[in-house]
Order: sequence, then structure tokens, then C-alpha cells
Amino acid sequence: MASEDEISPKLISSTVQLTLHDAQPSQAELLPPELWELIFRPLSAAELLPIRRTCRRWLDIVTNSPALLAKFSIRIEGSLVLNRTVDLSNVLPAAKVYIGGIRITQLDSWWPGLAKRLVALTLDNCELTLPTLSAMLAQTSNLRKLKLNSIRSFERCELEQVNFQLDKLEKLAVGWVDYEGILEFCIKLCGPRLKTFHVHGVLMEEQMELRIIQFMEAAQDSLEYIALCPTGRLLEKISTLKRLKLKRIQFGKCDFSTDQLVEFCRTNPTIEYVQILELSLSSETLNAIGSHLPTLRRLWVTCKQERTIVPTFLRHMKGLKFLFLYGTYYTDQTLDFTGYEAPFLEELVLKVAACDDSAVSVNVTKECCDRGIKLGYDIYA
Amino acid sequence: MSTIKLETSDGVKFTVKTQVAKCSGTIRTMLEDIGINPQDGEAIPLSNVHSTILQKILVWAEHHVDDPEPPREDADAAKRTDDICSWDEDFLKVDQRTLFDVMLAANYLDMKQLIAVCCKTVANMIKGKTADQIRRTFNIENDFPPGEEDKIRLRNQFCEERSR
Repeated sequence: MASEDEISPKLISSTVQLTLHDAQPSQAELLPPELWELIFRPLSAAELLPIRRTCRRWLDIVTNSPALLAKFSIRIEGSLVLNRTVDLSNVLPAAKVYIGGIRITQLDSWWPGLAKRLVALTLDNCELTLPTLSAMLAQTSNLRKLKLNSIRSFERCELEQVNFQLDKLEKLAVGWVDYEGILEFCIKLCGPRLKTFHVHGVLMEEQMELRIIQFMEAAQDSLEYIALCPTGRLLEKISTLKRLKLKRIQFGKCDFSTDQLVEFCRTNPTIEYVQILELSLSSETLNAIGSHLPTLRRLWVTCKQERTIVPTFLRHMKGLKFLFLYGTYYTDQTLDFTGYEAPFLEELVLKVAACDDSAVSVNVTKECCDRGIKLGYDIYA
Repeated sequence: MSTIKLETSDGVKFTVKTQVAKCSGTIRTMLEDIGINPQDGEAIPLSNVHSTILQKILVWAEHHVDDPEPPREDADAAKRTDDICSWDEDFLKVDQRTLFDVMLAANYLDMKQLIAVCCKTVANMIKGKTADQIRRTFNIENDFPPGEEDKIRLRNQFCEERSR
């Protein structure tokens, strides 16, 4: 962006022309706020900042538009304590707020001004009690995304009643949250639009599994995307949820067998995206997954370490558009696409070592090129 | 070829191919839903549009009449402003007053593609400019009380662009 004192020659000349018409009122007044808002929509947050400083009317147009505010995010971080002495009245009421590394003790002075417009909230590495968290969220009626990561309490505190629901919440991520009853709290919190549920960093003890399954049972009518590190037992329990129609799964550190995974796919045939992070799958397993998931479109997977990967499983994944292969960074592994069929495959991404993409690239590049598939590399550093 | 008559705010009557007139969602609704019958020979009154602007808009509609329907929610297209076709670019090389009048009329006539291309044109006049340069471009008065603009500048400092 041009700085304050850089004015291009072109602009100077147009400025001169415009000063001649100075007596006229601004033509900008002709357009109603909703058209200006439409004009501003493609602009980035950086480009919207000078807009806010141009005039009162434009400042109000930006501040009153949820779509424009959604482009701004603010970060509050550092060794701060957010208590009643904090004054954030100078902060733009952005729709996305990240609060990191902070102890939160009191809300009245700074939170209400931010909370109401909030669409996305991340609390990362924060210290606060569950009642404080509850009081914060009770004010965020427009919240769509909530991420709680590495949260702990600095004192023992019992949660009183939760008598509100976040009706617009679509995405909830809970990781390493050190409250005993966090998932019970989340069950009460989540409204009818929750689509995405990520839960990490909690040991898959039976007690916790029970809570996860209770959560998913409560949210099963809207839930589409789950990301977690399940056990085989948990997978079996998820499969018993009758109304659950999953579209996307992401499984991290896995404690289940390939048979359990295949069975899970069989009982959840609506899945379109599959991401398995830490389990190598054989061609037979992938064949079975493919035949159980007729609408599979995107797949992230590690193939069993064989010298040559022959993705015959693509024959069973006729609708696959995107394939990401982990594990191809082993230097002696190659890909052989001979005889594969996947008419809809548009993109193939390979995880490769920074210095060595030659082993996989030569024959794959040709195959992809011949078939019009976009080929990408994810560099493994 | 079927035609209809349109009458502008200054009383000028235009005879227009029905197909061209139907680029306007407003006119389409009048013809299809409300059932105004163009055969009656009566002109459809467009009380918010001046003849000079309608003339211009009809040139645009005539040129774009065979355009395919754009995809409904094209999020990428909405973010870009550098994809204006060269014909439209030349078409919109007009003074600000006319550009804004075309936009207002397109808005009244519900012509989404024309509004979109006007919006992009104006957005491009804003991009990369400082607040001061923007004010000069649109001849806008700085109506903040002294000191107020600095406060907004301060507020702006807390913001950052979201990652993507």
C-alpha cells in the first residue's frame, strides 16, 4: 500500500482537476450506504483502514457491516491480566478476536464492547475459571466459531447453571482444556447449527469417551465434521448414532485397527472427506474404504510403505477429486499410476522431503500431465 | 422480434427488444409476475431513471444480452476487482457523476452484473490510496472533529488482516 507521503504523479494531476470542482458537494453522497458497502466488500482489511478514516459516513458503513468487520481480527496477547482496570474502548469492534497467553479475571470493563459483534473467538493458552468463560460466552450471541486451546483455571470453581445457548455456533474446537466438565458445558452451549467438532488432547479414557459420545449424540442432527483421536471402541459407539450424517472425518493419533476403520466407513456412508493422519493403510483397506464411501471426494492418506505405490484403490473411488499422499517422502518410494482410473481426480498432492522430489516426480508428473491433473508438493521439512 | 416501451423520468420513451429489457430483474418481474402486457403498447414507467442514463444502460444490456447466467455464489469472483472485461472498462470510462448514476439506476433496475462491474470499478479507484487521497478522489470532506481521526488511526493499529 502506498504510504502517506507517496503520491504518484498521476494522482497529483487528478487532484488538480478535482480541486476545480471543489465547490460542488461530493458525488459520493449520491450512493446509499448499501451500495458503498457492496463496493467495499472486495477490499482487504488493510484497504478498509483508510476507508474508516475518510469520513464519518464511511466509518459508520464499515462499523455497521458484519461482512466488512469479518475481515478484521484483533489479537490481544502478552503477559496481560484482563481485569477491571483494562480499557479496550480504543479497539475496533472486530468480528474475530484472538486472546492468547492471558489471565482473565474480570469482564465488565472490556468484554461487552467486543462480545456482541463477535463471530469467531479463540482463547489460546489462557487462565480463567469456567464460570468466567461461561459469562464471556453468554454475551456472544453471534458467535459462529469457538476455539478453546490450552485453557486452565487458576482456582477451583464450580460452574453454576448454563442458561444460554449459542444458536449460531457452527464450529467448536476444544483442545487441552483443563476443566473437568468442559464437554458437559459444551453440550449445553451448542445450538442447532453445530457442524464441526474438534476435540484433542484429552486421553481417550472410557470416561472421556463417554462424554464425547454424549456430546455427539446431542449434536448429531447437525454435526458433519469431526476431528479427534479415536479408539476403536469410540468408533463403534459413534456408528450407533442413528441420525448422525457425517461428511468429513479427520483422525489423528489412532488407536484403532484398519478393520474398525473400514467398518466405521461402512456404517457412515455419507462421508465425503477422509483424513487419516497416523495410520498407514494397505491397498486392500483403501479398496474397502472406497467401496463403502460412494460420495468420497477428498482423501488424505498414508499408503503402506512399499517400494512402489500403485494406487489401484482409485478404481474404487470413482468420484475422488483430491488426493493427498503422506509418506511419499521416503526416498526409495515411487508412485506408479499405471492402470488407475479416477475420471474426476483434479488434484494430487504429495508430501515430499525438501531436497528430494525427484524420486516421485518423474513418472507422476507425466501421468498427471497426460490426464490434466494438477500436481502439488507439500514440502516436508 | 418482440419489443416493449420504457418511459424515463424525463418523459422520454424508448422502444426496446424484450430480451434486452429483461436484463433488468425489475422489468422481468413486472412482465412475468405482475403480468404487465407489453402488447398493450403502454410504456413501462421507470420513474427513477433519466433518459441519458437509460440510454447508456441499454447499450450495456444490448452488449451483454447473450451472457451466460453467472454462477450463483462465486466467492472468488466477488473478491477480485481485476477481472473487468475490457469492453466494460471502456464503457465505464465516464465521469464520476455518470458512473454513480449508472450504478443507482442499475440498482433500481436490479441488474446484478452491471452493479458488480460498477462496484469493482469504484473499488479500484479506492485501492492503494491513503484516506487523504481517497477524499480527494471523491471530493469528500473530512468531517471528523480535530483529534478524532487520530483516535481512529489508533484503533486501526489494533487490527490486522486475517490470515487468509
